Amino acid sequence: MLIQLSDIQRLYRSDEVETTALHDIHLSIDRGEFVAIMGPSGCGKSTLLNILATIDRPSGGVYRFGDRDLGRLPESELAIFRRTHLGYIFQSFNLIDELTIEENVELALIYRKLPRAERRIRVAAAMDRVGIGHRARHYPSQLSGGQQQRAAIARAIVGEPDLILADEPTGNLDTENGAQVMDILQTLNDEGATIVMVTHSPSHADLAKRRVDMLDGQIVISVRNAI
Amino acid sequence: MPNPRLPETDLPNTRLPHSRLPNAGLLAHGVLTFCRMLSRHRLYAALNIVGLGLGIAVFVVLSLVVRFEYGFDRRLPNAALIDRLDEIWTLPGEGRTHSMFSTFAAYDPLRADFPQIAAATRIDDNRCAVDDGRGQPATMSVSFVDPAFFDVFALPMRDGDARDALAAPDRVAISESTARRLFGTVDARGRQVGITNDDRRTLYTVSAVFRDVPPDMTVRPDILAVFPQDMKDRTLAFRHWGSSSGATWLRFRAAADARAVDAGLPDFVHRRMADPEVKPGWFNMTLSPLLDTHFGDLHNFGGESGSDRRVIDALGLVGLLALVAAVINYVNLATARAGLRAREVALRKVLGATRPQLVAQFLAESVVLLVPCAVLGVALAELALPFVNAMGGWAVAIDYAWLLPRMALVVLLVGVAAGLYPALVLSGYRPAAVLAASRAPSGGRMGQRLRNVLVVAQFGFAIAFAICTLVVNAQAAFLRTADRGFRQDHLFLVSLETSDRMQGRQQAVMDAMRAVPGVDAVTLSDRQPRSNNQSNSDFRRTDRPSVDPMLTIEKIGRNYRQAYGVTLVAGRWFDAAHGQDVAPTAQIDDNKPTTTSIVINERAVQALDFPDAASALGQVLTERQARFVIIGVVRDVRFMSARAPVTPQLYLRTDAVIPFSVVAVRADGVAPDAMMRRLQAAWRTIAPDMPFVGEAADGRLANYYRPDQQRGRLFTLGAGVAIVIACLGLYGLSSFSAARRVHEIGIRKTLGASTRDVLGLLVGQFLRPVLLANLIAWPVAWMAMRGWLAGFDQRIALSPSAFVVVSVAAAALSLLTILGQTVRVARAEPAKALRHE
Repeated sequence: MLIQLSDIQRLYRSDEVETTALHDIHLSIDRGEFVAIMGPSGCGKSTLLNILATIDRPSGGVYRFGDRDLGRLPESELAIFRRTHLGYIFQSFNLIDELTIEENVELALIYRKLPRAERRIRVAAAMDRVGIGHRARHYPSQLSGGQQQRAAIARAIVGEPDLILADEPTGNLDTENGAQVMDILQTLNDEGATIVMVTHSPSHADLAKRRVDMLDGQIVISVRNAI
Repeated sequence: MPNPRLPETDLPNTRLPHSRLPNAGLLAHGVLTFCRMLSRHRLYAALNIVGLGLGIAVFVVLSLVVRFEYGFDRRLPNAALIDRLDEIWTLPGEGRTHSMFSTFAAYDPLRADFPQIAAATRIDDNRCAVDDGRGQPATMSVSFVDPAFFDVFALPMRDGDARDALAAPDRVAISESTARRLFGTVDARGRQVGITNDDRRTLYTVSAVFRDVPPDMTVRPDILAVFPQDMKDRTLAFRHWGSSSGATWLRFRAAADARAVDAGLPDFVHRRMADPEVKPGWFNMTLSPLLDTHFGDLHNFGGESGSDRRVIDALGLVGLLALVAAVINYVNLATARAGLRAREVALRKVLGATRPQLVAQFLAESVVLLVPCAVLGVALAELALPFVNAMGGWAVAIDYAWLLPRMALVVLLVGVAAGLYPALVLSGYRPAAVLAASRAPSGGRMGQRLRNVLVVAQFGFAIAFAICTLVVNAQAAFLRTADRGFRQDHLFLVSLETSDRMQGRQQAVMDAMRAVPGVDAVTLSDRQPRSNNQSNSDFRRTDRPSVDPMLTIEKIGRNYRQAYGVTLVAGRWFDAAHGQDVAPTAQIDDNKPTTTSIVINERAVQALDFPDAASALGQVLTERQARFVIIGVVRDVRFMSARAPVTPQLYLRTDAVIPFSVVAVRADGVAPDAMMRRLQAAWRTIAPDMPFVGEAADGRLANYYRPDQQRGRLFTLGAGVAIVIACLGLYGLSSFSAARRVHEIGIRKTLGASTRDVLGLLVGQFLRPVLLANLIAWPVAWMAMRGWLAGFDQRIALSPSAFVVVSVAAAALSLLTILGQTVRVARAEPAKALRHE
């Protein structure tokens, strides 16, 4: 088992209002799974993904990654955990405008302090893998949305993470580019990567091995797709 | 299934080896991002680089000025062991006077009584006719000293041996530039120089050529000669404890020796001073360390044109504050724009960046930004220095060996100081919140408040400084044109002080000057504008003998009132028709019961405790047997600095020879240069072998107000730059803030706000901190200027107009700065504005 969430709660408190974003979340994910999380807006999908990404902390419950309780780690250890074990794909790509595509991809490795030569080899390999190698020296603004998302995927996989988290990776793409992105994710999963993807698209969710439906901060259905 | 390519240490349940500190590659990557961001956001980059560059330029220039001023005399070997012997006079009716001149009569007893003195020299600077044996003599400054001069002041030699340079009375040591001036070469050793002093030409041999003394030295001789015996015989100061003619310098072996001698001086004076005219308690001596004299002499007698430490400190503070103002701009703009980088920060955190790594990245960015700013700043400083030197009368140059390591430190410190707060703000963003938000965070209310506080501080400084500048300039202008109690324009002074022979021919000189076309009046006196020559005596009121103030005596010839244009406030002026108005001799024999008419000044009316000028008329003063009848009162005449109080004084009219006198010539209808040439020509007809020592009175008095005027100009420059920096910051903030508020403005306009309403709202919000800044600036400026003006005996009143003018100007300038941005935003069409983001 790679991930085990037990009784995860997430409350947001403001001066007068307390909002429950997640409650009673129990979820286990094995290595090599491809999980799609679905649900209406505001159901807590992105909050769950952020907790999985350790960029948000649960208000209660236990998040185990392997045999490690991540809830006990300080922020600095979590940063090291993220750079080592996670890859993240955003709906809006979040490439840094001032960096070229290869520099954006390389950013994921810089925090791991890999030697420059090794970084270059890995970056080139990751970009070729998603078919973006010919755009290495371009800036994000010079690329189409689909190309930008492929670059973002290259950045997510370049560190060969244990877990890839994708937050509506096709949400800003047209059908054709969305399909290409899903192809890449499926290929990565076939090669052994564990993927958790939030999506609004039932067809894209059907491409995952498991589908988790959420409503009002809870998991209501968790089913394995027939492949 | 675990990824087989991951190393064992990367497995989730193993200890994670990663450092939380940044590596070089990471920093380089961050800095690369930043540099490209700057090239994309050129306005932001330009505002920061220009602002910080200007701040650094002002900081560099004023640091160099402060270094120059504080570095006075420090290059001299044993400077810390050299002291000047000063006199303290506490005369009745005058208060305490600290004089940088001392009696030369104390020199031998001092060395005999204090073995701690390692070496000593007296210095008497004289204007003499100097020649190289051919052609016309030139008037030059000759410093007569004791043979041990170089033992005290170890000036570096170019040619010759300091030990025997002044070992014989026929030797002179001259500076390189004097050698070039006299002989056209610095190889002047062995050549002969004629020096004419007191009508006597003495031939000297150049025994040594010393390096030109740099401008940051207190003692800067051109020609050094040993006191001739006849000078010692003739000059009163060599034997009379109540007279002084120059300064006495002492060198000690240890600082403790100086303290011991200083402590022993009161006893020494009590034991050794033998002058019946100097009463007990009037006279004392003290030591002034050489390293304290540059700033310390300003309020001493003889040092009125010295440097004011407070002004120099203020200039240093201005340099520092200009830099701080530029740093404030950086902090404000960086935090205001922080939201634009929030997604980058969130992304980096998602990718595994730790907070210390991000802090280091942003600090590195700030330091890197400082590099072009420093280059620009130093370049601007280099360009500005010639003007600054001309403005301030300095000789400051950039010493790169000194500057570069300090500039590296400044880049590092300012970079970290400027970058720290933005780094903490930026690195503190929580990625989940940033990524979930539909728009970039603004930095929150705290950030907004802090920016407002910093803008208030920045404008507070700029406004306070601008007010001070106006006041300093107003005082300098006032001093230039102030009523000194006499008319200084078109007044020419021809000195007879250096020649006994010419003093004997005073009447002939006056007749020759009077015959010059265009001359309106010619007179003679022993006091003159900007001269320390004065003699004092105590006078007693006959009706109230307990009132016996010390009065300065000025002996004057005929036409004094016409030539100087003094104003009579009561009584009458001297009239030859009244027998006792014109004294038969310049020196009244106070052992004889003579009666002489005198005119006194207004300060003397106070010192003599008369209720008003009219009450003094007809009153009789005595000096021993001699009686003096007050026939008139004139307005105070200020020959000295506006910082020094006018002394109570009496005028004594005589047609006899007046020792140490100066001829004053009034010529209202002739251009000064032309008149000076005519006077020089007239002088040659009666004394072709004597150098003409003439000067316009207003040019001579300019030395008193020029330093304040020069520093006022520098303050103006600093204030201008401070305001420009503040406005740059305001422009940056307003342009950024206006852009951020387009959407808000759209909503407001949709709800019915007019362009005018929106404009009022935006302008009010931007101007509020500028107006608040006045609350800080006004009291600070008022206190600073009240203290500064208190140092002047003659000064302007601290008027509120300067405060109002500067505040209105600052508000107007700020309005102009922000108006373009705000009008553009306020006029935006609502539909378009609502689509903005």
